[in-house]
This record gives sequence, structure tokens and C-alpha cells, in this order.
Amino acid sequence: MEDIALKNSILLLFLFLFISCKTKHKEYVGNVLPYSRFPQEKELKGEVIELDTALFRYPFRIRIEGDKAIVMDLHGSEHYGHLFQYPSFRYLSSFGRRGDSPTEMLSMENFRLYNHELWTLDANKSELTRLDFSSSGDSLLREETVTLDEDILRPLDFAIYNDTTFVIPDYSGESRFLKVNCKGKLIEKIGAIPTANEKALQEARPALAQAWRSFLDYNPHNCVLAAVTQLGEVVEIYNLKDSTHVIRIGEHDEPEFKVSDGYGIPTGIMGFSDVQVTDSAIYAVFHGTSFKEIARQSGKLPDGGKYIYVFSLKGEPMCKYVLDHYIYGIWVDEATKTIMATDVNSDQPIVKFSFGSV
Amino acid sequence: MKKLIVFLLCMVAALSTKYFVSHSNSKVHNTFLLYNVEALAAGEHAPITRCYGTGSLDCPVSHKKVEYIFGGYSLEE
Repeated sequence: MEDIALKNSILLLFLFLFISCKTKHKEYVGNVLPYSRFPQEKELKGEVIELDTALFRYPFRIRIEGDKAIVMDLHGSEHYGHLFQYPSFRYLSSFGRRGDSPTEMLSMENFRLYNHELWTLDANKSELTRLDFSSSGDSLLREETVTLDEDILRPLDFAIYNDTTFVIPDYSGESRFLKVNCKGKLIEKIGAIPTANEKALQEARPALAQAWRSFLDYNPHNCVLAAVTQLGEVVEIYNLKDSTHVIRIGEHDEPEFKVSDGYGIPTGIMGFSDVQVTDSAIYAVFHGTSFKEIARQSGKLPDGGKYIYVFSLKGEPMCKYVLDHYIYGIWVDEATKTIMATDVNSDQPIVKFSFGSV
Repeated sequence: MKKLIVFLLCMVAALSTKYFVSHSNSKVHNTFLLYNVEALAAGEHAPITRCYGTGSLDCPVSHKKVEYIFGGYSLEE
């Protein structure tokens, strides 16, 4: 009897030793919740929209307002933005001319529609520009340019918070987001990068911020700001009305990176490429392709994501759509249950998906 | 058998102590080692970060959007 007890004790000791050697702790705070599965998974088949003009090199973003569709080309050769009639997708005009004169753009990171006006962000000039529709509605005219404060480092995305305030991700790593007024002045810093990588926080914060480069969307109807990481699989949901926030981390974990010359060099996987907060849910395009595979295939892999993840406004995983196209940007219309998406791999880059209720 | 348990307990204590001591020291050494490796690999002026292709990653060197960024060392040990 005594022998059995002793043997059990020895086994327990070995078990303790084994667990001690193998366990790797990641310490997150209480509002960081992992997710691995979606309660629903559906396949969606896309319908390619035939365009009569070949305009795009890298159609990155798409948004629709009324009878107009706007598509942004991240690598536009002459213009970064193109205006179409919707739903016919008849080409109307282009805007955001590429160039280095004061009225031209060096880059376009994103654009937003707000109060029937359009705002664009040029990270290389650190400028926000407001454009208005012409009286015919067939073109967009430049109205105002806001130069951002010098202490706002490399703004790579933006959302419009209200009539006078923008939200921009903080590229310095000191906080998570910056509130900027309509004159381009920094007025408030919000949150912190929700990483468990204490070493990077202490020793390589700018590189960490680069690796945590995120795409944003804000819905003023429900005051929800969502951010998704371009690397890894992190979704952050901030309710700016009640100041609550939830961080959801998928099975690909937080962004992985190396440090080179002080820069954050992506390793791990390509994560999300776009996000939209609708009145009832959060939609995000997910890639999941590893950089090892991207390097190995050297340009042969299709670029984009085959998945749209849907989360509730509280961050609960709701549905995973598996697509038959690789896409980058999305525009979700819950009223008509349609998703318009951009495909950077095709000469016919606009794809329409129809979905039922989530 | 009791001697064996005492021996095992001593082993656990010794291994734990060694683990904590070596772990805290190795962090410092490895960090310096990584900086040294980077400095040696970089030469005097040549940057070791490179960007390739056309994509959506923001190249920290050229500020262009690229498919792949290469270079660097890992903070993981």
C-alpha cells in the first residue's frame, strides 16, 4: 500500500517537472478573449461585375453611397480613386491624381464617406483631403486639405468620429489610437497595444506598432470602433459610448514580427485586410496566408483573403463565410444582404456576394 | 524509496534554481548577441531591410506598399 502511494508521488513529481518545462505563459488582461470557432460556416459564390474599363492595378477599397460606387486603387498609376454609377458600374470619373504637386497625392491609404462628402488620407504627405460631389454628381471636386500634426507618425488609416474629429491608429506605439481635430491637431490618445509581448513593449515599441498596423472602421450609429490587425488575427472592439472594449484573438494569435534596423518585419501570417462595422455586426476579411508560403511561391499565390468573419458588436464570433474568390476590400449592405468586394488578382475586380441572415 | 523521493525533491529544487538563474541571464546575453549579429550582418552602412513586389504591406524603408518585407532578427528566444 505504502509502495503504491510512493509510486504515485513519484509519478506526480515527474508530471510536475514535465508540465513546468513545457508550459509557455501568455498573460493577457480580462477583456482579451480567444476565439477559435464560429457557430456558423457558409460558402458564398461571387458574381463578377463586368466593367467596361480596365482601370485598376490594385483595387483595395470599395464603398457605395446611394447610386454611386467608389473604388480606391492602392497602386493607381494616374488616379487613386474612381467613381462609378451604381448598380450599373458605369464609369463616371476619377479623382485623387497621383503626383507631387500640392493638389496631387503621393499615396491614398483609405477614403471615407461622411455627410455626402468624401475624405481621403495621404500617409506620405500626412494630409486629409475633403472632396465634394459636383452638382451633376458625376465627379468629385477637391474642397479642403488638412495637414496633420508632425507628432502624428505615419497615419495608415483613419475613421471619422464626428463632424470635427478623426480617429487615426498611433504608429508610435505609445497608445492605440489618436483623436485628431478638423485642423489636424492631436487632441487625445486612446488605449494601448493589447500585446502580451512585454519584451517588445519595453525594447522595440515602434517596431511593435508597425507589426500591429490595423485597419479601422467606426459606426456613429452604435458608437462602435473596430480595428483588425494586418498581421496575426486580432479584432479589437471599442464602444466609445460606454468606454468598454473587448479584444478577440484567433488561433493565429497576435502579430508576429522580427526587428531589423528598428523596423517591425512581418513573420507569421497575413491577417485581416478590411473591416466594416454595420448597425448590427462587424465584418472583416481574413487571409491566413503565411509569409513563408508567400516567399516560397514568390508571387504565384493569389493575393487576398477567402474568408469573411462576422462578429457581434460585443465581439462574439457569429459566422464565417468561405468565398470562391480572393478579395481585399468589402462593402456590406445589410438591407439588401449583399457584399461588394474587390479582387486584386482579376481584370474584372468587382465581385458581388449575396448572403442570407447571419 | 524515501531516499529516492528526497533525491527527486532535491533534483526539482536544483533544476528550478538553475532554470530561473540561467533564464534571466540568457535574456540579457541573447539581446546583446542579437544586436551584435545585426551589426555584423549590416556592415558599416548597408541597411538589411528589403521590400519586394506589389502588395498592401507598408514598407518601412521606401513607404511603398509591397508584398513581402525581408530582414531582421527575432525577439523570441
